[in-house]
This record gives sequence, structure tokens and C-alpha cells, in this order.
Amino acid sequence: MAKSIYIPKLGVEMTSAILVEWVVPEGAQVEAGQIIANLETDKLTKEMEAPAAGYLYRTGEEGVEYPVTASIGQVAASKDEYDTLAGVAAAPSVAAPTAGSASVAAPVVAANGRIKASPLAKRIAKDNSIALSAVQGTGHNGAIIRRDVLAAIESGATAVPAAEPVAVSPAAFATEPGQYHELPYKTIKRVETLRGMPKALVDNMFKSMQTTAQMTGFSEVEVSGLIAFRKDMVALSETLGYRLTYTDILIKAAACALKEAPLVNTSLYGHDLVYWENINIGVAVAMPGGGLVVPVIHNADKLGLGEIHRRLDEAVERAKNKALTYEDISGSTFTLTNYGSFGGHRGTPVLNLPEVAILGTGAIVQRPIVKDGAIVIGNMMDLSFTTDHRVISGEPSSRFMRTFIKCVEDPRMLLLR
Amino acid sequence: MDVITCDVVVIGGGPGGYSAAIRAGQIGLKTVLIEKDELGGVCLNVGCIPTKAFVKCASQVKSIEKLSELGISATYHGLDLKKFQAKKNATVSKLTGGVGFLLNSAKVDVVKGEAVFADNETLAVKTAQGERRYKARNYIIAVGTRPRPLDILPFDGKTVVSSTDALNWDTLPKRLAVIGAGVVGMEFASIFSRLGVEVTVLEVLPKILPMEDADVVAHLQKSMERQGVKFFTGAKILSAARKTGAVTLEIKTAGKKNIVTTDKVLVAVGRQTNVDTLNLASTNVKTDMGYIMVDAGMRTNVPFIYAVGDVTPSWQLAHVAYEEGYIAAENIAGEKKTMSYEVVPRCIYTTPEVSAVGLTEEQAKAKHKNAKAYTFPFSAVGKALIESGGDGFAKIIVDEQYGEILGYSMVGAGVGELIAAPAVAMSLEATAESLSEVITPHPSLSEIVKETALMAVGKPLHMNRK
Repeated sequence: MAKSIYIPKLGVEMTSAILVEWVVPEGAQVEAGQIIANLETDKLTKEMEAPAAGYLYRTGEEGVEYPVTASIGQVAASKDEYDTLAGVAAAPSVAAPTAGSASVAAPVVAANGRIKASPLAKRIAKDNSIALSAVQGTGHNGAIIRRDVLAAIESGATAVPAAEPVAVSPAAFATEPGQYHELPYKTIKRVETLRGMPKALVDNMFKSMQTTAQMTGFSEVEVSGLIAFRKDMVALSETLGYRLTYTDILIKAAACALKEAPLVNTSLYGHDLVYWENINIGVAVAMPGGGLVVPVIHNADKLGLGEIHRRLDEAVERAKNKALTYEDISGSTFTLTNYGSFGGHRGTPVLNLPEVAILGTGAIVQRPIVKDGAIVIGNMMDLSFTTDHRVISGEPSSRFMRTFIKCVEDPRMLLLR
Repeated sequence: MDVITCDVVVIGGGPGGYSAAIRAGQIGLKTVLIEKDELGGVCLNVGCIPTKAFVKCASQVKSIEKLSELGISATYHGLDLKKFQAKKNATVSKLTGGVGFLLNSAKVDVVKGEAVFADNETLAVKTAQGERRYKARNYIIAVGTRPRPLDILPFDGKTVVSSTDALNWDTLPKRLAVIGAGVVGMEFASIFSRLGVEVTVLEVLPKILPMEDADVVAHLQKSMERQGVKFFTGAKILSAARKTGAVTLEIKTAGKKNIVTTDKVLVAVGRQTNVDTLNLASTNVKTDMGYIMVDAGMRTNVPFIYAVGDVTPSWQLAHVAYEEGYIAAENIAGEKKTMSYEVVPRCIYTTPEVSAVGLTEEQAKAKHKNAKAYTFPFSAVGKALIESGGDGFAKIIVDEQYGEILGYSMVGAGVGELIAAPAVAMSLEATAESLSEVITPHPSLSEIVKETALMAVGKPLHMNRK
């Protein structure tokens, strides 16, 4: 019996994934667990494994976005079975969640990636910014019909949550869709229609700038104490199997500062200001080859430096191997972005919704400073602290910065707090 | 006495009954169908089919007049109604025989007899061979209707007749008064006036065919008046006097009194159910004004007793009964099917024909604030000009918010065959936009469906949009 290959639901918020590419040819013999394709969601990339051993019958098309639980192919148990499957290639594949699967029944997707929905259902969905990929169909063969889209609108399930403040309609484009053909004075070299993570970046950055009152405050910290502390501790950390980094210390410092200024560890939904129990620090990490991932160190305030280091390290490894999980990148309440690691000093980092603050740390540079009335060479790290002024005003912002700076100037504070 | 058990007993062999029985048999349920008369019920024997045979006869007679327009010389010598009746009856026999064949093929046991309930679980059937009792696991009641009489003019089968009697005429009266301007009354008025009878239609309501689109009905009435039919609407019959071979009716319309003298009266004021013949009082089945109340799965309040067809309060149409019969059979087999009445096409075989599906313009505007109607005339459809001079029009009713098609109405030659396309479009939830993109064949009458859709989306082709 052939085993179907389904788009897995990797996270609670995940609704679809792009089948980026097949990495095994049509008809190839595969082992159970062998990587057969690469998927990309709006948050991460993932390698798909074959659910069983056998012959791969591919129905999903590269570059097409499929909803969660859609079938993109089958693994035939025998060559004969594969030949039979391949012989019926004319019929479009139909999504059929297995009996035991707990996932939501997906809309029917034809082999060319089109979701089966009546013209009326499509029109209503479009006008109301409902993603068809997240609507459950109750028409013939699971097709989406009018009543299904109307029900989705009623429940508000697939639109932007009512509590979240949205200044613009969710359907608004981050940039104008517009016409770029036949413009005077310039010809097109190449057009890349953004999907998956790059598309999410476009939409998320736009939404962040449009719906918050971002303001950035600049300061600097003299980090001779940080440099000495790390130098001192790195040999000791090596006996525990790792090399302590500045980032590990900055994460812990941010966690301490958030304990002092809990207003900075909140999210705003409408007029509900939610104070989070956990202090989950997202750390922006640039990936080789471009791309940005933000692994999250959950409950950083309760972790020792070694544990912080280990978790960050392992998440970055997974990111490099396209094996990030939704847990790795979800739940952050504050973000740290260390553009200093590639030479940046100051910036105006953009809030990572639904957080209300993001701290950018610059490279450590030597600059003349005044200390005890004399000009000395200081080891300076610029700090750019963006906060959402709808929630955070001067005092809590300063309180956060004071604590952060104290912890960075002398990281021994981290032990004492 | 024999007590026979089985899975389903279907009472009534008309469209609702035979479709339910065939489906039940196909599914593998042990099914018995009880019919006291002829298989095919009213529809095949004294309804849809014989009426349309008459319509065909009248059309052919009328068409002889038009032949000279095409340069063909032909003379009408007269109508041998006896010969027509023989042909009509042969067609009916063929169809009822066909139903019998289908039932046999589905392994349904067909029993000729009269059924009454003894209690919820037991049915007593009187056959020519004696009485037998059935204890079926499920029952489907499909006993249909009979013509309703008028108190002031009870049926006598000769001078005051029902549609059943009129269909069996082998001679035509000179004058005919049709009481009731519903579908049956209008079809018969049209048939007989075109066969040369002087027809007067009397309707107590202010409008004829009140359930259909007002513009369509107005067009139809004008056409029929031009053909010589006289209409009295808002007419109350004050008295009826029967003399040898003639009936004098004193009627009052809009405050004025009128006398209508006629040779025969066709009473077509509606049909009443045959539920009173079943002794339902011995069961718990709920009825209301003679109708059996059912849920969307065709179940009565007694969970193993179903009812389909004209005994239920919904549309009195054979094709609705077909669907209801299927659903009842499938639900007995354990499915959870429900009947939807949102897209029910109906056809009126007058000349010109009328057909409609979904809401009329008035009904749509009452329910939907964005409802808008778009009309396209057959005079702009080439094939219609050839076939019938281009009389009539088609109207699409759209909800402008999402382009949802709320209804479709037509009047003109052959529109009975054309309503299937809008019915399919509505069932599959096409929008006016997606319908406007369907390629329809040319030259055909069916292209009017695309033309109306084009108008609705602001891109009219063979018409200037006002």
C-alpha cells in the first residue's frame, strides 16, 4: 500500500508551506526517513523525510504553496504499485488526511496547486481577506463553498485577530503591486516573486512600522569590564565544553534588565496590555547566504550562561541545517540584535511584533572618553534601543537601560542579581 | 395473514416513490413498492407527460399557420383528437413500462394494492389476492395529490372537469372556462386556446402566476391575450348555474359584475394531498393542513417514517420529488443527506414557455439589499429570431456585493430547456463574473445565458447597456 506524503503542521500558527524543491528524482527508490524535499514556511525551512521505504511518486510541484496536510506525493511499496500510480498520472491528486491524523481537514488541492473552491467562495474570501488555505471545505470532495467562507468570517479564525490593532487592512500590500513593465529609462533584469520567508519579511516589517509608534534612543556603554570578564571566564567555560561569548552575556544582561522593567516585557493587543510571565529573548542571527532567523532563548532569566550558550548554539546549528523547529523561533518577548558582529554601530532596529522593545548592540570600538576628568581610551559599545512609545515612555526605558548597562559594564552583577 | 418484513416499504409509485424505491434497491435494501393504480403516478399518467404531449400537438397545429412565412404552402385540415389520444397513451404506456422495468432491475418488489397504516410499524395492504401486512424497518410515504374541488362547482367529470379529465378528452368544447391561473390552469388555457377553443381564465388573486417574476408573467399574459385568451383576475365567483351542456358563471371583479358562459369548466385551483387515505391517525406522524411535516433529511417526526414528493409542503414538482426520494433512500441506508431547495428550476409549458430558478426579482430585492436585475431580449439572439421571431427575454438577478447569482427567469420559445444552465451555475456557486466567462455555442438559444451574465458584469456584447 502506497504511503502518502503530507505537508506537516510544524507549528500552531503554520497554515501552509512552499514545496521549494524535490531533492530526489521521480520514481527513485527511497529509504524511510530519507530527505526527499525542502519546504519553506513563512518562518522557517524544513527538510521533508520519506514516510516509508519504496518508490517515490511525486505529485507536488516545485515552487507551489500547499496547505498543511495536503498530499504532495506517495511512496509506493513496490515497483508495480509505482507503475500503477504513475499510469494514472492524469488524475489530479486529492488531499486526504490519514484517519489517525489530528490535523484539520485541508481543502482539496489539485496537482497544480489550486485549491478547490467555488467561484463565489473565492470571491467572498478575497473581498474579506480570508486565506482559502486555512478554510475547511464542506462541499463535494471537501471543496470550499460559500457557507465555509462565511463561517470563517464569522469565527474570525482566519482573519487578523480582532484584538490586534491594525491600522491598515490586512490585504494592503507592503508595497504597491503596481506595474513595473514598460517603464521609461529602465528595463527589467529579473523578477523574483517573493514567497515564504522573504515574503513574510516584507509583510512583517511593513506591519511593524505601520502599527506601532517606534522610537529609538541611543546610548553607549564602556565595556572594559565585559572584555575582562569574558577573558577571565572563557578558559573556565572551556572546561565545561564551550567558549563563552559576548552574546551569551548580553542575553543574560537583557533578561536581568527586563526583570527590573517589566513594562518592557509586554505586548499590546488593542488596548489590552499583556504582561508576559516568561522572559524569552529572541536573538537575531544572520544566516550564511543571506536570510535572518531569530532563535528564542526561553526563560533566559532562569538560565545560567552555559545553558544560554548551549541553546543558542544548537538552534543556530539547526538553522544552518534547515532543521529549525517552530519552538526554536516562537514565543519571544524581547529581541536582541547584535549587528556589531558585522561591524555596525548604531541603528534604528525595527520592532519584532508583538514585542514592544528591541535592543541593537554595536561593535566594540576604541574611542576617547572622559574618565575622572581625564581623556582616556574607552572600549565603547553603542546601544540603539527601539521601543514602542504607545506603551513605553522615558522612565521605564531608562530603567531598563540603566540595569542593562550596569550588567554589561560589570557582568559580575549577573551573579549577584 | 401474512406479515411481511423488509427494509423499506415505499407507498406510492409516482416520481417520489419510484425514485426512492429504485435507489433503495440499488443500495441493496430489501424494498417493496405499493401502488394502487399505475406506476409513474400523476406525473406520467395524468400530469407532466400527457400535458406536454398536448402542448406538442397544439404547437404543431399552430406551426402550420407559420409555414407560409417560409414559403411552404400547407393547409390545416383539422385535428383527430382520438388519434392523438392513442399516440399520447402509447407514449405514457412506454414510460410507465419503463418505470416497471427499472424497478425490477433494482430488485424492488412491486405490489398493486391500497395501503393504510395500522400503527407506526404496520401497514395493511389490500390487493386483488387479499390483504397482507407489512412490518418494514422503514416507510417512505409518496402518495402524492389529487385535484382539489371547488365547493361552488364540484367535479362531475363531464362539464366541470379536472386536469385529469381534460387530458383524456377526445373532442374539444367550443368554449372553456379555466378557474385558477396557476401553472396547471395556465398550461391548459394555452393548450386549448391554441387548439381553437375560446378560453377564459378566472383567477381570484389579483395576479396570475403570483410566484413567478412579474415582468415574465406580464409578458406571458399579454402574449396569451393576443392569442385570444381572456383573463379575469381578482375575480370572485358569485354563482354558477349548470344547464344542459353549458355553464353560466356570475363573477365579480373590481366591483363590476360579469357573466361568463361556457361549455365546460376546468377547475385548476390546486391539488390536495392523498394523505387522508392512509389512516395516519393510527400513527404518530405529524401533519399540517394535509401535508406531512419532514426535516431536511425527509424524516417525519417518527424516525423510521419518511415522506417525499407532493405530500410534503415544499415545491410540488416531480424533479424535486426525485431528489427527495433519493435522499430518503440514502438516509435509510445510513447516510446523512439533506435536501436543499435553494436551486429548484421550474418550467411552465405555456406558449410562450416560462422557466425560472432561484429567486424572482421581487423576492431577491426583498431579501438582499444589493440585488440587481439584468434583462436580455431574445430579439437580440439570432437563433431565437429564426425559431420564434425573437419573442421574450431572460433575466438574471445578481447580488452585487459578491456577484452571487440569486435567480434567473425567462419567457420565450424553448426556455424550458434553457433553465438547466443557470441551475447548474447556481448549484456550483458560479458568480456572475465566472458565468460571463463561460463560452456558449453560437448560434443557439442558450447563449442568452452568457449575454445576461455579460450585462451583469458591465460588459454587454449584443446589446447596448442603458
